[in-house]
Amino acid sequence: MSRLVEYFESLRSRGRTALAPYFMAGFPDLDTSFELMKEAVASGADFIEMGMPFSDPLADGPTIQKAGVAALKNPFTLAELIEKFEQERLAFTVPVVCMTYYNPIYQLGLDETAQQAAKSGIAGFIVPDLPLEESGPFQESCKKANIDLIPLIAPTSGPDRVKQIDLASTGILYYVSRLGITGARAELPPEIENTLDRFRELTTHPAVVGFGIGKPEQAKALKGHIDGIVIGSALVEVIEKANGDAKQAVRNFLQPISEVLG
Amino acid sequence: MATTQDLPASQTGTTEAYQWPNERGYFGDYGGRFAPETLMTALAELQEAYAEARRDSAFHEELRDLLTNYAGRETPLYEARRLTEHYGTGRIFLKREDLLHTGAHKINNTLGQILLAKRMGKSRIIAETGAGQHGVATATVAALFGYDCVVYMGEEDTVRQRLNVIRMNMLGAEVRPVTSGAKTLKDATNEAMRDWVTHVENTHYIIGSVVGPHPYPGMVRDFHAVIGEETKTACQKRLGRLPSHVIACVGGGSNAIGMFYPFIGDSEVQLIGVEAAGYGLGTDKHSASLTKGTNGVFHASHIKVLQENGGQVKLPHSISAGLDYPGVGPEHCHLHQTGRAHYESVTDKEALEAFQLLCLLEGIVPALESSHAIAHLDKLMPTLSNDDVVVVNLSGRGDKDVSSVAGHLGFDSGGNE
Repeated sequence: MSRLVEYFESLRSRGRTALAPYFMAGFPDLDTSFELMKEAVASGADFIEMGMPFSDPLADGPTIQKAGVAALKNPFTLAELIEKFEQERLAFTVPVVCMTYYNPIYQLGLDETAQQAAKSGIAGFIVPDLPLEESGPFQESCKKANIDLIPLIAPTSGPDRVKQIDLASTGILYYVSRLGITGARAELPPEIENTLDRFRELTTHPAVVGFGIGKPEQAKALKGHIDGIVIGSALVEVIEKANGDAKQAVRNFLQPISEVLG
Repeated sequence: MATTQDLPASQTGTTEAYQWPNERGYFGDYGGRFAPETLMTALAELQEAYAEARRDSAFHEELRDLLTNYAGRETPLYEARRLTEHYGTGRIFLKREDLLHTGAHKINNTLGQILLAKRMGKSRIIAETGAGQHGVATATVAALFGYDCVVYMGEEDTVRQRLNVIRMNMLGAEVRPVTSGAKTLKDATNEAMRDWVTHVENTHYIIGSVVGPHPYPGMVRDFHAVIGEETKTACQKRLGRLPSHVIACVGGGSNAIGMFYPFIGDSEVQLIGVEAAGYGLGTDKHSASLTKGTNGVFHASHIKVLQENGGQVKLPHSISAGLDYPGVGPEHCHLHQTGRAHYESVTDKEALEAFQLLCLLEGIVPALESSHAIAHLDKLMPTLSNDDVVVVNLSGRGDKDVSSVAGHLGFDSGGNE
């Protein structure tokens, strides 16, 4: 069984819904972004999504786009990010996955990416432009390296497709809570709890939910309906607006959310 | 890098045997559907709707009627005698797509796609545009069919193609300037995709070129294939033969593939695509994706793209907004790989000279995009014999470019811009 599945099942058995914050590597700069990820772990994060910036992030909203543009002012490659993670890995006591678009992976090489990531301690990849139909080759590389390719499932994915994606997955699933791009929203989609319950009936793997979540009361509403909650744009905004002490801002933002998740 | 596609295509030489794309949207190694999961169901629906429409004679009839009586097909195949005389070899013909309603070939595709949107019961249309020609063609069909229409356009392009912005507004479309990235076509495409992901349930995205996820590249090609079909028939009727060369400019590649596709099985016809070399291929400022690009996944398709080693996509450059794009459609990548088509490039400066040449010798003001195809005659014609027949696809007219070209060529544009 994949390390991630095992990990999420142990959280579930403890009654904990995972807090899964997203950080854009390189924002505001590479070293600081790693410091912030470590701070997140200290603030209760159970799982970290480390974003590798891409020039054309067509699934991302303005907040993450802007952070990506800022990160690429001092460009680094996916290989360099993995290497940096390897140097810092001992600080990470929770699983870390890398979220990026397919082209940086394709350029580094599918096997090469999976092998280097596995060696560095990265637990898997989330690739928003790699749907089931195109995921075979990289899925194979990830399997060989014993890491997970985490598929996305959307509100537009019909029941049969949800089952198919679940069946093909080796690890956890990522449920996109709404139509649209990433970005914090004031309200959760209507009836999201029911949607998640139906989703869980169709699937066998643990799952996290993301896109538009950023408040303790939202997290609280979702707790128990899903195995983990991804906080992306809202957190990136906190970092963007932090005056001076981004670490403190990250802590102040994540701790209350962590507390409601059990 | 190797991909898992099972195939490189054997180049067969007959149209019957050329059956790309395959079911998964691949043209040999290129193409596919690298789209966000949210769009996968909509793309499958579109593929299905298009397959049904193709089998439906009523669809073909309605489209043919619109192309003929609304858009103005068939377009003339005009023999450019003074241009021929200028070079002194062969014979040069211009396929006059510039005479179509809205001033470019783009209307062939937008008419086809609006009929599909209607079949699918969508109520809202979005599009991206570079030069504004596709935006205008989309705004036009949206008006004709009573659809809400939003067009994404890079902020830089809204400045250099201001006239087209005004036209789109007059046609009732909302033009949303895009300020991310280089503020040109690539960024407008990202933004249109984001809109589509958000409003996929009621919205159809009319992609303006042979790019993007399956089924777009093959479908947009089919809607433009009328260009090559008419050219072929007209050549046979008037000359009793096929052309020796057909030439078209290539940004994303829609007008070129429309011209090339019906000739793919005719091995005696040389297919020449002309990319934008900007300030020159030796510089970083060009849009020659086939000549200088490498395999990558961009805008949901496996294609040749201008990129850094780590996979970040570069900012392209061309004086022509319609060619200012870092990628190129997957079918061109395939034709390039198999050698069935050849791809050349032309600098900004050469395109401007060709623009002026066609104005002065033929009384035709070409679009800057199409001027790239004309400019290649400079290199090609001296190598030809008098038996050769060259058809250049004059994909659009240059009214939209007049004020920006005026500055480059030293005309006083009357302080309008």
